[in-house]
Amino acid sequence: MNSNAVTRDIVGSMLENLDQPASLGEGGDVVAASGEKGRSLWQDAWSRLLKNKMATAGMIYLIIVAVMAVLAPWIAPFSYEETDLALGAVPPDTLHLFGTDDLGRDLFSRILYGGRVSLMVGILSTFVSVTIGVVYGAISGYAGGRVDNVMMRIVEILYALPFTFFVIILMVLVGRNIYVLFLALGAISWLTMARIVRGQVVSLRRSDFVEAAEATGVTRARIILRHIIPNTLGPVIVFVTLTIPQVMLEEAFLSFLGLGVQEPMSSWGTLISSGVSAMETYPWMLVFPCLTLVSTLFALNFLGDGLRDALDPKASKD
Amino acid sequence: MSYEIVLSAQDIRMHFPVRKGLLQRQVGLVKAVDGVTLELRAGETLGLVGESGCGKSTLGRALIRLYEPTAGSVSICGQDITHLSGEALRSQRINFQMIFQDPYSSLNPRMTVHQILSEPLRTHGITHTAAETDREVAELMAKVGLSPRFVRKYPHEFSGGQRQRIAIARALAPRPKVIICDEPVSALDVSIQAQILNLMRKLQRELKLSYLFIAHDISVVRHISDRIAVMYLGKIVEAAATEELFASPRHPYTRALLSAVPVADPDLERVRERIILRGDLPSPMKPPPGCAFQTRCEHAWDRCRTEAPGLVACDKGHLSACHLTEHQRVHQRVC
Amino acid sequence: MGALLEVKDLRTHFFTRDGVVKAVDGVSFAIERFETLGIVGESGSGKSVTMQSILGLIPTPPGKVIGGSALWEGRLDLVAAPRREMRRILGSEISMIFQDPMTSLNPFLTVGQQLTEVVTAHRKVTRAEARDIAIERLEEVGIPDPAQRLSQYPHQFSGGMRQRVMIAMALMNRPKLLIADEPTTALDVTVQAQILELLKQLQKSYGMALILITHDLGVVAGVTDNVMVMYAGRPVEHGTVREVFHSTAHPYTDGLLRSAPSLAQSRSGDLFSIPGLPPDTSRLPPGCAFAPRCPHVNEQCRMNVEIPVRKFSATHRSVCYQEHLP
Repeated sequence: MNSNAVTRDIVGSMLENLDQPASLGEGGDVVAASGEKGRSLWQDAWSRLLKNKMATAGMIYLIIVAVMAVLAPWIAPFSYEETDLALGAVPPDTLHLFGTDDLGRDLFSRILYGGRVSLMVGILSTFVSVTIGVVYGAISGYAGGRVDNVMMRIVEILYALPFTFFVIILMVLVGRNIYVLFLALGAISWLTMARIVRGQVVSLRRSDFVEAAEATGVTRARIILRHIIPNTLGPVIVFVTLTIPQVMLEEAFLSFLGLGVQEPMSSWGTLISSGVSAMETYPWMLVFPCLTLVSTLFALNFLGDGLRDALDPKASKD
Repeated sequence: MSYEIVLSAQDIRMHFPVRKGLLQRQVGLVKAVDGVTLELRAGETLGLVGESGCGKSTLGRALIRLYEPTAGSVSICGQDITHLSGEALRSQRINFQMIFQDPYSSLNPRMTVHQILSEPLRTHGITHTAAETDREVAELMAKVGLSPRFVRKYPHEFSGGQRQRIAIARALAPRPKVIICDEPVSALDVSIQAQILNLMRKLQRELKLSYLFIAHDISVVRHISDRIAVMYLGKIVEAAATEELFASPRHPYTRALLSAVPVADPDLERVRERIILRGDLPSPMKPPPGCAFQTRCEHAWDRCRTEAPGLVACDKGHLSACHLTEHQRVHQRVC
Repeated sequence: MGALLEVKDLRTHFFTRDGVVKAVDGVSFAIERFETLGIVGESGSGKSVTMQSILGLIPTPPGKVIGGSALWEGRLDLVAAPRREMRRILGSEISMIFQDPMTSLNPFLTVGQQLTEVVTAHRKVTRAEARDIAIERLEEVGIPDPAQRLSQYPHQFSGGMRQRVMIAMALMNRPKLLIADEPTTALDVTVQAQILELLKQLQKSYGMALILITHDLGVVAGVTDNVMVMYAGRPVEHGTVREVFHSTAHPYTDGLLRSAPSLAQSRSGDLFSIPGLPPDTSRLPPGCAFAPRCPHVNEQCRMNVEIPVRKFSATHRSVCYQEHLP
């Protein structure tokens, strides 16, 4: 027996009266047990998230990394392309926090600037995939019937295609354009998003409050906007935080293959790539970019897990 | 009570095709509602009673076009709504509303009570300014016994009974004439059930509402209904004024149903004779030939197995779909 | 002869994020060998948690049986018994059936597999012997073609049939006590009548004690010998079924009986309703839990002292300051 489920059943009916306004009798004679301001499910979720130490730590870490990346032009001690051939590769010291690469470029600065690229790619690509996925999934789920059938079969066919190959071919053909990179990466991950959203929409469509809205005479557009989409946001948010690391890893992989960002711009992937070739002689060139990427991915995953638990409707007082 | 008919349904059928296979070929038909005709008069409550699979909830939704009836017609407040669509249908919806069974899922968890109650007001243009809306929302809440101070709260912050009051308020917002109540108290504790039933009766008197009260708990239905219709496998098998139905139930299924209801009186319980039905409910995909009830009826004879009985008046206002009743009526026996 | 099961001052608390929920707060009762006891209450009354506490089925955390005892056959305290001992008793001497047979039966195993498993877990029999016992039980609970149905899966049975299978499963080893937690709540009323008839009949032929947990007073009236009414985790009235229904002593029982629409009552006028809301067992007021809703409440009810137990007969008692109801 799942402990949480049993507890919920046993305790749920007792806890349902927690924190609610007491109303004696039917005459409207009311005694307030709590304040008048409502506490939305988002607020509940937020406080639950804050109680999760790992998720909160991850969130703080990500904020720090993001802020540093954004402020890179102002806080980076060196430019990302400024070479110092005389210096060559040196291990970390007080001047160069993470050392330098074989062209004498400061690794710390390159990692900061690289972060801008990696994070931007991660976020923008995910944004593309969310937009396509949510719209596609919502239409498919709400339309139902044959339209839904056809749309989902298309998704399944696309799933079978080896996307990474296509992206590689695309990059080779079009050239290493960073915007094409966004689109390509976004185009890979929208499929799962569409499925998730469609699943949510299908079950929401049959829920009582949607039926009630239909019975009230609310227009279809308003039902989708006001009733369905807000209730799908939970899984979408969780999926977003778990897609970003996936996309960043893809980008790192592509860059590693030499198909990603162009020199002298760096992303964490390109840095890792060059780090690998210098692994034996200048290990810091690999270690620091790796640690940065890995720690960011960890943080995103912890946050994603925490969000999933926090937004789980079963955990709320319903 | 006037005799104005506010809802009239003729021969409603809801057939759901069962599809299998890659090409979704139809392999069967579930006749959830199979030819129901009924009338609801102004200010009255018609109780619709039956067990699982009888089609009462499906019928309720078909009557207000939440499901599309496969056949038949429905008129509400004199307007035939069977074939309306789009804006025409939507504008008619102010006349009929629905209250759902589960107070936990019938309210959007992400909307405040204010938003939930103002939605019907805004949709039908009943109020035009924010002030008007606020006033109307407060009035609605007061009508159902909730303090208007809590409009900014979310559904999960209320108890089950309170949520059901909110659902009732939402149904009242467009000032309908007819409310379809689909098991409105089944999910509530007994002590709260009584509160909500009393509220519904009060509102009916004050606002001259007509209810179609769908429930499986026959004691509850008896308390609130003026007339009762009993359903079995998609058809109405008996309909009568409440007192009449309980005093002299005609259809064997009604008799078995009534005898099965436990009564909170130990002496009565131990002496009453129960009619225990044999067998199981037949599958709605494969209803028995002839009378749908014949497989479990102790009085079934040949005619029952071949010919489906129609709803026949055996007394003033008392209808029964049973060959036995008809037989008795024709031969002037006790009726 | 000592009682089959004697429960003394049982207390189970749930330690949750939002406070301590006192689900069971001092429950005492006893049941004899062939007795049928009904435990009645609404949601939050603690009726299910009481039995689950006795059988060690409370998830810990967040729940914990923090006090009391449940003496089985005068020799073993079930609350304190080690897991191994409980596993031996559950399914053989004490059995439990639940409300929803669909979730209590494993959808991936055939009915036959689940039935025989209960036997082989407790007795040394061959597979063939276990099968025979299973067929015998299915027959006893009124399932036609039992040999054939052994190889079917739960979803191939109707709701009423599934509940019969659950009952068969509970009776495989001829328990001395059967606990039925809302066994008919999810069933249609005609099926409910069948199942209750079956339980009564089986209880007689097996010579078992039966504890029936329900919120339906009609069910209690028809099936049980004795009734214990619970509110907010505490028993409020206990007596024979006639005493509790006809000489009701506690205001809550009285309110409950009067607010349930009954075929025996007249249908005119409003239903009597108990004012107020069901109790919040994590924030109970001092004194009697029912005080906020009681029509006969007075000052002493709200003070945090032991509410007296009034005895009206050898079997009938009520936890209330009222001597008798007006």
